[in-house]
Amino acid sequence: MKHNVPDVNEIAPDFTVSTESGNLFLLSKTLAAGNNILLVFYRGHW
Amino acid sequence: MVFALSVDTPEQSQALSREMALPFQLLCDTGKKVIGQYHLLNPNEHGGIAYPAIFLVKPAGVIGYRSLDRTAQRVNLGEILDYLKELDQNPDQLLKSTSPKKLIIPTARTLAQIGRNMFLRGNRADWKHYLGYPVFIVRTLLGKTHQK
Repeated sequence: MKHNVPDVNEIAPDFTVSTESGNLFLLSKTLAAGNNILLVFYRGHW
Repeated sequence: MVFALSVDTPEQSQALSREMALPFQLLCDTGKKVIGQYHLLNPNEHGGIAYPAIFLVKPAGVIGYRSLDRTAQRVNLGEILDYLKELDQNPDQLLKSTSPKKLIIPTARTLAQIGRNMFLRGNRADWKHYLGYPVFIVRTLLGKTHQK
């Protein structure tokens, strides 16, 4: 799986996803505001 | 800005955020769409969750930093902080995590909790993951895993 994960110096795949408060998060839109984004993938509740 | 993404529902995420007083937003990839897009799906646990990973995405959409982690082997957060400080000075900075990851050896209490979860919460299908865990620790100690 690891060789398919987007790598440094590549474009981060854009996505839309719901936030905890039910709003829509669009990666490209948040980036377009000039922000650096630290995107953390975590395991979640168990 | 920091965003943390998991397969949890908005309700679970809100509860977690409240409990831990998180100063950043949580993203709810309940359909595992984003995790699939980033090829980070761990199919052996809880019916499919994300492998731990951290990316810094620059305003142009380019990935400036990446660390791919494992449940029991995580990046040293100091590395990310150092990178962010350097990025502040030089926005063209790129870094692929290569420093040794911190190995997490579970305590007896954690192991007992995992056992309880497996039986009480119906996570029995996760046995493949847990059975592989001691093997993973040994391989890591012997330097046989390939961390990128």
